[in-house]
Amino acid sequence: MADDGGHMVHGLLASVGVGAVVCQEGSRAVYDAIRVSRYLLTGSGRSVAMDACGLWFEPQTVAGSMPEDLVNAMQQIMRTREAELSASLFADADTCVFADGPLSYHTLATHRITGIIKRIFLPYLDSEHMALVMRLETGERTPVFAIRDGKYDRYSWFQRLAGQRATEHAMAGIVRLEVRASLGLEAAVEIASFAAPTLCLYASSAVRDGRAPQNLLPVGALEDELRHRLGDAVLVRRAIEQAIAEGVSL
Amino acid sequence: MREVGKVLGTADAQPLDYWLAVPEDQVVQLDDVVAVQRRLPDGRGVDIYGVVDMVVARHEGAKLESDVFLADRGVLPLNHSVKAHVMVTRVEPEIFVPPLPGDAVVAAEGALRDQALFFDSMKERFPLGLSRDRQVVWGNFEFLNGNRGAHVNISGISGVATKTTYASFLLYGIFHSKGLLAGAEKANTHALIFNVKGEDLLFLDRENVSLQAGQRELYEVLDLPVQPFESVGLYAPVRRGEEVLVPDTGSRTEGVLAYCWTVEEFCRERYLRFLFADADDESSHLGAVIDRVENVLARDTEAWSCEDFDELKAHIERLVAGGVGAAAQGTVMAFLRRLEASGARVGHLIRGRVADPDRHRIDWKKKQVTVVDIHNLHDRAKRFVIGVMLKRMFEDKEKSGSARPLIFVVLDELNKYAPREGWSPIKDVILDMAERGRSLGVILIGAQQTASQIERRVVANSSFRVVGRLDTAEAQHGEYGFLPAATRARSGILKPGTMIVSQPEIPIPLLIQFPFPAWATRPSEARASAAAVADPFARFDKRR
Repeated sequence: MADDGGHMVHGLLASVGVGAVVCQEGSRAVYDAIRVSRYLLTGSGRSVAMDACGLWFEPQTVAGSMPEDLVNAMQQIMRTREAELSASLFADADTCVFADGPLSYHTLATHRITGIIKRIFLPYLDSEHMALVMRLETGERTPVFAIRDGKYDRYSWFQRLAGQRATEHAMAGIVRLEVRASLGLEAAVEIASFAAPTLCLYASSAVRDGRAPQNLLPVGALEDELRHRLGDAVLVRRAIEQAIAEGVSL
Repeated sequence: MREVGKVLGTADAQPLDYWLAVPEDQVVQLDDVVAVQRRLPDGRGVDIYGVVDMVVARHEGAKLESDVFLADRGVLPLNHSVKAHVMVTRVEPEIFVPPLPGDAVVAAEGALRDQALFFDSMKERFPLGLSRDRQVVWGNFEFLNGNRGAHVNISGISGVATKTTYASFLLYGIFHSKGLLAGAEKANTHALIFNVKGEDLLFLDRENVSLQAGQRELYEVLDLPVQPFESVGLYAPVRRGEEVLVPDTGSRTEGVLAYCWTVEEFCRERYLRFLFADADDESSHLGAVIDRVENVLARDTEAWSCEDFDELKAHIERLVAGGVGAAAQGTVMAFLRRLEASGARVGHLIRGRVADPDRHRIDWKKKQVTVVDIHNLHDRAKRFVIGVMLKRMFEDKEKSGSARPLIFVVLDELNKYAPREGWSPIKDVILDMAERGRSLGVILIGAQQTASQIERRVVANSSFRVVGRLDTAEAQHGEYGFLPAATRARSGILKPGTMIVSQPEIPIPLLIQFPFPAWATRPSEARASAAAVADPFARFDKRR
């Protein structure tokens, strides 16, 4: 936050990491395309870059002036980076890209990107059909259904990654997946039939991850790796404070 | 220079030891010699040399032991990490700073390796063996020839540790290294080897027929010829109960001289004490009796003319019966009892009339290497022979007054002759050799199964300490404190032909291998000498 001749200007410093894990039958899982970028988001249409002891924060201009505007802008950047990465990962037609979260930011509608939604807020199905979801066995899926909201039309299905424990609700271990409607129903069914038995192989266990089994093993490992690649939070903060102490001008 | 990794930053790097991370495309193994340079703020560079003594691999990012199965199935992405621990051997110039994380570690090859292991500063050096990557490991001869230190001590389990073979390899290297011993000194440097077990050392002068072609290359690397010892004198005890003096050997009689002593020599040179060489024999009273009897015998010409040892014994009994100073009757009886027991075991080595006594006296100056076989003698007789030989040699060296030329004494089973507990005349001689031998030019190459059972001062005075396969319990003793923990663990799995050598200049012991001997170590390996198998067609060749 800085004062500019009586105007209040908000700023946000962010480090963003994206990456992927390539899993191939018969070989080791490896991290791929890990990229870390840092931004200095500035509200009220300003643009400021910062060099904090060798850490370069790219300038990002945000039109709004409220702190929420900056946070939203940062979310937007994260999602966009993720979408760009997903799009770059298509080595061949057999590659299936699973993205963490819904497909809202994935602009290239024709790519075979599947979004995995771990937490289910909206049932999308009526109670009769939801009863089926709860009866799914590990590796099984519901039939593919369409979600039409006019903006992001997509095909979706529920599937079970792992059985629930005695203390858990029947929805534990269930995830919802979605693909763009523009792919066509046939492709969607093909992907669903592949994903249902395959993804449960990657389900995490409660011992390792509090979000088990939905937070898939490669995703959990990638999160750890990205957090590591972002650098030590204390050191980064120290570098920023030093840079600010030395003076950053708007 | 080949970079093998970088100093890592997750473990403390210290001036004397650090860890390096090894990238996937490099291999670093135990005993690799490496170097790293630390740049100081003033622009100077500090070269830090070292040897790898630990290599560790693990999964990076794994939280649970079972993660390895997930990684193997390709489900969980985990990285392999390999790191190696380096013990620093040398810092040049001597500014003790740690290398910095990220500093490049290179393989020390050629001149760098010589620097790392101090080979560049050794004015005179002899081969200790080869490292596992077939490069010569040198020993500083100044620490062996008495200038700055002396003696070698070898420990290891019988049979697998190849102690005697290594001792003979060391001698071979010293005698055959180019430019080490030159001219007259080379001819006058001698070795006295006691053959205490089997007849292994009676074939030093015979070519080894089992030598494989690959082994010859090793000799080439060491710049040593492939041949048996050239100048070898072999002595075996005279056969018991026979008037004719023939050597008492099993597998070899040709070229072996029979040794014995005359009664006169026994009396004059005061060898009596060595008949009482059992440890703990030396109660002060008994010692006084022995001294007194020795004194009398040294002047008693009547005793000198005894026909054999039995007669001498009877003579001594008569002497003692007449009273020996103030000795109590019990002490005198103890003296006689022991004399009787020793006489039965050693008596045949002490003869009255010997036609050519010089021929049967062990003369270690005639040949470069003299092997004295004592393996089939009784323990008491073994002690007698060793005691007498070492005493004579020592006196001879004392008289000559000069350390050079050197004489090397190879003695296995030191625990018998210089045990930690108790006292005996031989222990006295060996201790004397360990402590004063350095200045007299008498170099002891001693070997034993367990250094923990040897008189401390014998081991403490050895500049070179060598360890072959060790019993794991034995390796825990303080005598092996010079072995770092990792090396100590390795000593339990050493193969024959592999030793760990510690020398004063290099702060960590090095693992070496030595080639299969080019000389025979058992009858089956010996190629018969040319004289024994004359070629019947030789004359035909000549005519052509």
